[in-house]
Amino acid sequence: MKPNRTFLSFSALVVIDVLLTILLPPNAATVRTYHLSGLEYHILALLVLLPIIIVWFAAFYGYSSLDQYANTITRTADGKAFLKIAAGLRWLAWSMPITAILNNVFGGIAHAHPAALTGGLIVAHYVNLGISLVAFTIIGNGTSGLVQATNKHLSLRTIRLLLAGFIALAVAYCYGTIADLQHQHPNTYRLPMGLIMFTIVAPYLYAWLIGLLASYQIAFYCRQVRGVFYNRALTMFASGLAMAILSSVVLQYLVSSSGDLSQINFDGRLLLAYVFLVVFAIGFIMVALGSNKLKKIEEV
Amino acid sequence: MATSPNLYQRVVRITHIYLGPAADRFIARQVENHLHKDPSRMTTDDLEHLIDWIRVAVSLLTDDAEIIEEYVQQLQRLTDHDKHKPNPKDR
Repeated sequence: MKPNRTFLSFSALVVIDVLLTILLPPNAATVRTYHLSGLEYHILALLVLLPIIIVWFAAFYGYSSLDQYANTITRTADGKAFLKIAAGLRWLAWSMPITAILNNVFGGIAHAHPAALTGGLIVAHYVNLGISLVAFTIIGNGTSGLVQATNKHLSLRTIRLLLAGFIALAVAYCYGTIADLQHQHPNTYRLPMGLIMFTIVAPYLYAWLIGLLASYQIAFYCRQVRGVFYNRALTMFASGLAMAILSSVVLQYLVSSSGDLSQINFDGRLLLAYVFLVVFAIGFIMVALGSNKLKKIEEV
Repeated sequence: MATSPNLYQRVVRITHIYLGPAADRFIARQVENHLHKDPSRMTTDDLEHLIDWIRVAVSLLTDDAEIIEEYVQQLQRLTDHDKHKPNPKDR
């Protein structure tokens, strides 16, 4: 996508989300918890949204810069791989405003018809999951393409270590999810335990494994590729990509275990989300800077 | 005119140390845009002119003068090497 169209789309998504935040009725739970008037709630919601919009901008800038670089080398094997990574990052970038808009719309519907909250939550959770699966699969295809271009194989010992670490993470995630489900009624996902484990937890774990593997693959590619100037730019890009993927995994975990659509809670969870949003934004900015340096090599 | 069929490949091989996978594309671009010829038709007579253009291009990528000088010196060794090599046509 051309940069102008990218930023036009970004601006349109921001305007829609800001309008929804202003126009839709306030979230009842937030108003009750913090004793807010309607106006106070909307001001608070906009203040919470502002830093998030900056993060979205970083994400759009990051994928757009990578897309421009990849388009300068489309005929090469690494060019095709970089194009796939850019497409995967596009999914991650677009997922944030789109899920925010969905949450606002479903939250608004649930305000008028409380019975619709269940349906809204289920749809929102599956949309998030679908985007995560598509984004990480495409990014993983791209990083695999880069590894194949080196004609070298990943080390078996590192793969085993990666899997051991992932299994520990997966067990902790399953344990946490089951413990939460036993204490909550109705549960976060509004689904029976079997459906949650097989249609939400298992696919998320698969997507995150692909994401973690992609982070390792880009680091591996970086170590294998020669070129003093090229490697400096690539290291910046690879570090940013790994940061974006890893922080995205944490953010997806936080969103997937959220039990309300447009509720604002000033607790440790919101602080944690902001910390990882900052890491996510820095990751995308590094992707942009690295891509711009790689693009310059192709232009001089 | 001293022609060297492998000259282009030797320039790319040295450039690979600095520009990695972008080396081939970089040298082809310099030859086509500044020497206005097909990379496969490059001769040793073009080398000095090419090195000047490479120095300018790489200066746009980095401020590290030491590494630019190291790269240029490696390329200049190709010129010296080819100057001292007997021309097959003279035999």
